[in-house]
Amino acid sequence: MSPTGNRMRWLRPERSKNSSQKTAGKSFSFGMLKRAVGYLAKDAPGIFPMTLLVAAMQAAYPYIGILLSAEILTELADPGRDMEHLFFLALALVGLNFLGKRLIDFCSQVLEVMKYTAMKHVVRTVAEKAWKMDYALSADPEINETKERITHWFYGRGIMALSRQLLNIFQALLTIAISAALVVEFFRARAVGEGGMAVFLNHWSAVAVFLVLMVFSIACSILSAARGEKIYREADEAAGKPMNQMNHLLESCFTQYQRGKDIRMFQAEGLFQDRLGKLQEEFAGYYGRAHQASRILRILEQFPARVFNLLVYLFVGLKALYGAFGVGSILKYTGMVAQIGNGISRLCDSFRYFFQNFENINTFFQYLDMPNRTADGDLPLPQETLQDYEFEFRAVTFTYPGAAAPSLQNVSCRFRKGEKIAIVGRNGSGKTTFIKLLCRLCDPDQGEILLNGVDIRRYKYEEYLKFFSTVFQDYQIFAFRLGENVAAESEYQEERVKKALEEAGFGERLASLEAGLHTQLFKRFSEEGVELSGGESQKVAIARCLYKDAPYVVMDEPTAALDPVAEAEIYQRMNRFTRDKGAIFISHRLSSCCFCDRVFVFEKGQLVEQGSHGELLAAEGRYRKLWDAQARYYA
Amino acid sequence: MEKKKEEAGRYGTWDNLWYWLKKLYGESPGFVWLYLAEMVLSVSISLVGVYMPSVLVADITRGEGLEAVLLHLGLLGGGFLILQTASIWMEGTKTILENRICFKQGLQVACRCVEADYSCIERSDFPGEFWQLINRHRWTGEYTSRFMEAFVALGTAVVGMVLYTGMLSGLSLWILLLVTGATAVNYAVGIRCNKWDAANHHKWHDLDNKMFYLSRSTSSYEASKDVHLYHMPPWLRKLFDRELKARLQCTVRQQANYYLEGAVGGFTQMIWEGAAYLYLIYMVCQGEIDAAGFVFYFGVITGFASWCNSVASGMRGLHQKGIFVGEERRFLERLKKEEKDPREELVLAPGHIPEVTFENVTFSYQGASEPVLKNVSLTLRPGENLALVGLNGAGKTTFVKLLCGFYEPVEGRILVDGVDRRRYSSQSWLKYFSGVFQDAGLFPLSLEENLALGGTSRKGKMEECLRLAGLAEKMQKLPQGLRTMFGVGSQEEAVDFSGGELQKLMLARALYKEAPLLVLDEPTAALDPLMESELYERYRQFSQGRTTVFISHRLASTRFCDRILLMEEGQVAEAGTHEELMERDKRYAWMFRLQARYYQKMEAQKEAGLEGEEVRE
Repeated sequence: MSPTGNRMRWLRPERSKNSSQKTAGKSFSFGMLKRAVGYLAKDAPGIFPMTLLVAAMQAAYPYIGILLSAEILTELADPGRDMEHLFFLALALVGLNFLGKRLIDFCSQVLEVMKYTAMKHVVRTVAEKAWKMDYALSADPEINETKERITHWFYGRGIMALSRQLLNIFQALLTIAISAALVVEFFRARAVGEGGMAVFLNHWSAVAVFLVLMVFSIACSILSAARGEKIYREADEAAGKPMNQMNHLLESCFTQYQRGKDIRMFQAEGLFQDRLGKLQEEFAGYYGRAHQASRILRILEQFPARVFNLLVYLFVGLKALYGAFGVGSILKYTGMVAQIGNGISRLCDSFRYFFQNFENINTFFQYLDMPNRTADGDLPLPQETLQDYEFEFRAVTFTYPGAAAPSLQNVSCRFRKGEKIAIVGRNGSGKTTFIKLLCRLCDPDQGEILLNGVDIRRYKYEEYLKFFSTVFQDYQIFAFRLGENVAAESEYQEERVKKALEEAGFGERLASLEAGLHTQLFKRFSEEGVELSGGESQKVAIARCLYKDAPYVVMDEPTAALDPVAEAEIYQRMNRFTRDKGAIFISHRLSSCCFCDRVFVFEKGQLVEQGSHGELLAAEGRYRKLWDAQARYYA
Repeated sequence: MEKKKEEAGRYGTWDNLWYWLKKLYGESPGFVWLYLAEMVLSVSISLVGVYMPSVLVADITRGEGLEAVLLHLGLLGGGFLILQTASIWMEGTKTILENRICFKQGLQVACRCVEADYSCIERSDFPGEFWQLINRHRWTGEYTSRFMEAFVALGTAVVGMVLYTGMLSGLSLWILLLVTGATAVNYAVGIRCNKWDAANHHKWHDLDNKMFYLSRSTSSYEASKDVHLYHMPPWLRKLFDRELKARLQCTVRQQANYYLEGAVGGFTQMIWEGAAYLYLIYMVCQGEIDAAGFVFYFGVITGFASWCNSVASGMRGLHQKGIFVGEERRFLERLKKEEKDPREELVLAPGHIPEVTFENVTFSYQGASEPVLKNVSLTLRPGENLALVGLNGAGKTTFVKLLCGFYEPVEGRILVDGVDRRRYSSQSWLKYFSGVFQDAGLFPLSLEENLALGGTSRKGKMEECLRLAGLAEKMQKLPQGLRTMFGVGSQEEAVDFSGGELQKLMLARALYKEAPLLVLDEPTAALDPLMESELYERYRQFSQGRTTVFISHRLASTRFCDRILLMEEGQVAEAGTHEELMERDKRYAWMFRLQARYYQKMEAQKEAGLEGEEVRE
């Protein structure tokens, strides 16, 4: 590998991302190797046979040149040479070179396509796992970090690296085998002559010296390379933290470029430049020191090998001088030595990576095998449930992992089809947690949630979720086409989607879009993409909710970004829309409580009041306080 | 796309290359010299590499003695070893220098972006361009080692070619012509293939982007809720497979293109190599050269061919580097201020509140066909509390951006105490502002730093501001107090604030900076009713001794403002106090009633709500 190639490999950002990985306990096992091979072979069946074929061809290819050119030279040096035979040899050489190279290129390129396909399948598998991952698990930073890591590996690490590593090992073995045969041939060629040198060249000690030197140079190169790897790994680890901080800082300033307003208004330019400079100095320093150390190592790595090559050159030359073989073989034998040295150090490298990589493969399978708690329920949702239903929270308590206090505490309530519920309360009182539990995004720690008297955890998860149309506070609109986003499907009924968008108050804007429902949202993928304002994307989210038309509607602050007119329109339409359904609205605008049948008031994770708007006002409790706080400005 | 090309082409390739070479030399002369030294080294190494086998063969065929062989090999080999070692050492030194230069240049770009005018970075494609440039600086070496290598490769190749031509002078000129011709054919085919690649690149680039987006953004924690509840996995999988299918077709065509390039290259190599073999064999058979000569000349011809190839690829490499440099120059140029120096510093006396006047201000964003503000005229009287209301997209936020000086009016003027604001630098004008923007957020810094940002940090006052913003209770729950870190994912023990808490914190930050002008763009959207009402109650206190501009969709907030401005489609539709506007009974009054009706006579309004009384009048 060229020095430049090496350096670039060391500098790659992916490496620093991986560096923080914890050392997983388990590494190589044959079971896992079998599973990994089977896994890849399933996605791209030809991948392993093709790998072996390419390896064999690549190992054999250089010998066309080495052997035939030696043949030519030998014959040239011979006074009784035959020009026609020489021409034949030369043409055979260039012809075979050409054909061989074409064949190898073709097979490698087919292999590339296969590997690409397999890699994309792996990426998709990871994404699919993540899409279906329990919401509670997807909030876990450690699991997210694992996902980040395995999606960054591509060909370099993990399961995809397996094919290349096997190729390397196989190729190195073949190279060594072929070269070893030549080496034996070389030592069997006897030097002729009387002098001490000729005796030495034929003596077993020459073989011993050769072997010792070879082992020494290979050992030097492997050890220094391993040491260099270690130095860079340590630098990666140390630099990871400041680098991560710097990237987050840059992201907060430039990916969120809107915050540039704050930076300038609060004159924070200096603060950021200063901080960026310091972080940069810190991590550049780690790499700088690593580069310093590796400069000497690089020489230790390569110097002995170069000396050994030179000595071999001398050795081969002397044997030729003493008539062990013709001059033509000089090229053959010097070529072979380079090959065998290469082969052995490549083999060692390959094995090292191969075994190290099993940690990554292990992580990959661990991620895929992560069980979803939502997979447990197997009860189908009976058809009658859709006709009439009642939810019941029974003494439900829930604490977010790692949080000191529960977010919901001993909450009990019932609500049924046809009822509209408003949930109100101060910031952080547990309103959103309540609906997350209802939608099974989280499961209660204590107590249970029942649908028609059956614990919701016993229902099939996917069927249960069909029950809900939702707009969450942090709804996501994706950079796909408008219609697809509303339908959450690529094939949809255009009329229904249009109607949903009109109902959500997006009609006017839709009419102004040339491509209509096929409009690409956001400029992420194309210049023609259409950016949506906060209010507009909220309307699209509401349209998605309307399109799904599920029996139960859940809305968390659906109108926060809307102006008063749009807000009033939405409330009226939602009212009509939810007429025969059940619905829950969370809003800080208490006006929404008026058209709800009942109001739940949350405080510090507890359901402290419930009743109709009128009842609660009359009760002069917390709801009254909240109401008055807002209403008096409109009096 | 067209426009981009046009702008990138403002500088020629050579102009770009020269510009960057000078810049690199200024950054680190040693770095540039090392590459020049390497040029000499690599030509020498290749020369020794050619001589060594031929000398050995010559010695043996001539039947030289042991000493002569040892001497020749020792000299050449020793030299070879020294040259190689020097080359490795230099490689290491270059890496050390490059490490410094790369990161430094990345930092320079970032710092330039921090200082640039806000209007230069407020565009949706800015983050993409920024990160591409930063990462190219930091990790790829495109602006350092690869840049220099492209120069050295070309330089070395030209020197090598000249040298080898001299060494081949004993041979037929036809061989040289053949090799050169073969290289030219390769070059032409290579260019064609590259052109095809460049013309089609966007196809798979888009597909890759989409697949990346599908595998990353849709599987994030933020997206998870919607993905589950709308049962998206089968759909997303379908989308992914659709893109992958299209991408595989591209990949096959791409590989076929590479194959063609490789095949032509291999074929021309076969022709010249074959010709060289036949020619040299013929020469040997004719007795014009011996076996050693054969080895030597064949080495030289092979070397010559590889120099020819290097010249061709070096040209291509340099051309590409020129494009990269052009991109960097264009990016930085877009950050430049239009007319930077002649502006004055604005200095206001402490406690003085300036009067700001909009005079027939019209504004439209670059590239937009419709103006966002049309002919707006108004005066912000010192100490006045102004409320700005209107439908989404009426131009309220743009008004604030113009007021703060992030943008300049396209037509009309903005006057500060009667003087055109353009006379003053925008930085000095911004010094007198504080506020909360709609899209404000936290930086991954400590709480203290987030509050103070550019200002000095005073603990007592910070605590006071946090209390005023309703964060006293939350502060008690933070064991680290003001030293609490934000930025989950980059800082250990970082905390995350909910939407409501975040908005309170933004308010505290706005209060902490005592500025005569305060702008608040939707500061209450995520606040609960009690907090909202507390804020309103304290509003007089906040706005003491300042001019304030308050934007809100909650019309209740307008009650404590001195003047209300209703904006409609970029124009001021109505202006006056709440009472005046209610009396006028137009759009504002209608909007207010729309929002207020639920809060009045509940029972009757509930009926109305259920019946869906038409909203539009």
